[in-house]
Amino acid sequence: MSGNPTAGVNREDLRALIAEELELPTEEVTDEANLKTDLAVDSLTAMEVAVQLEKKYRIKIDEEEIKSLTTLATIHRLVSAKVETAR
Amino acid sequence: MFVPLEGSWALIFGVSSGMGKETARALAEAGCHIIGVHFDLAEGQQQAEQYAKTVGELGVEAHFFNRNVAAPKTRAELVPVIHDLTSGVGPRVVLHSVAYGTLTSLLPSAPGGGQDQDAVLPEVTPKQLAMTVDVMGHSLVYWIQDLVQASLLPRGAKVFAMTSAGGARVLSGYAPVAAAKATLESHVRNLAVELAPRGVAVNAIRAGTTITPALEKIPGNQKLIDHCRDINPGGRLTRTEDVAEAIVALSVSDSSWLTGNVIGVDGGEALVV
Repeated sequence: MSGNPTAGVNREDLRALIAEELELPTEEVTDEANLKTDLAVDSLTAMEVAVQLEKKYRIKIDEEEIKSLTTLATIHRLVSAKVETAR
Repeated sequence: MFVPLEGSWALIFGVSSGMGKETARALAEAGCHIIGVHFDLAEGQQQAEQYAKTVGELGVEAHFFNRNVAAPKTRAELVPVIHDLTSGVGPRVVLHSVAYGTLTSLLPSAPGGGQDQDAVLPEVTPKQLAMTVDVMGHSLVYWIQDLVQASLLPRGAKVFAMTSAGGARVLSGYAPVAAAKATLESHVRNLAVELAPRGVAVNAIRAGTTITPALEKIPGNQKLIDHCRDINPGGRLTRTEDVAEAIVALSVSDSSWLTGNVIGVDGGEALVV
């Protein structure tokens, strides 16, 4: 898989992971839904999402970066960038 | 009667940092196996895994789990693991040393009540307040409920919950955690009475100001450190080792009569003004 640019982070996989952590139906996790204001995510739940992202994508997320996990779209960009650098 | 801890098990919530971390080492030195729960990002998790190895090198088993201690699914997953690891006996020592909450004030204010207008603390939100009290307070109750339900809290077991002077006094930027500590102390008293017929003791440990990663996150912590170092009649701040030693000492008795207290481990810090 490495080196294949199309084998990047699948957005639907991410959506499923976030929905599972938030215990929400996947359709509620739209690309632009704000985790904090629309989906009622608090800092602890955001931490749970971060830990699962780290585990699944074998990346490292800094504590400061948790605040930037605002929408599926931004999470997708952050995770993709980290997975890319890790290659 | 004193019963050696050798071969018994301890369940430690918050094992990767501060009091929980040091108490794991001290209990392991006394021959106690450790089941630790912590919640860290990858960097912290690696350090925790390394620490589990260090603890294991003391000749005991050390099993650490990176999970949210306040999540029901964590209990559902780990209670059977605790059953299996302890051969159905359950832990002899349970330590709740969980530091995860929102550090701010109830109303917008400057930390330390000082003049630093650049660092105004925002008022706490309902979600932050509920989360903090749930994680640092109520989670003790839910774990004890599940351990009792699974018959994993044997006669002679000791439950300790880490509180702080902030549970009964006011420290700037600490209000949500203060509420959690007050809640935790109340739970300790009620659990002590409810568990007394089972021969299980429950106490809160009120450590003096101790330099830990959790303290370093409190706004204006340096002011607090300087003040406590100044007033502590023992002439120094509390160390995590002081707390760990107290917990080991209190754990070796099989009596359940010392229960329902808030026990100061602070060199007398809270007594002086």
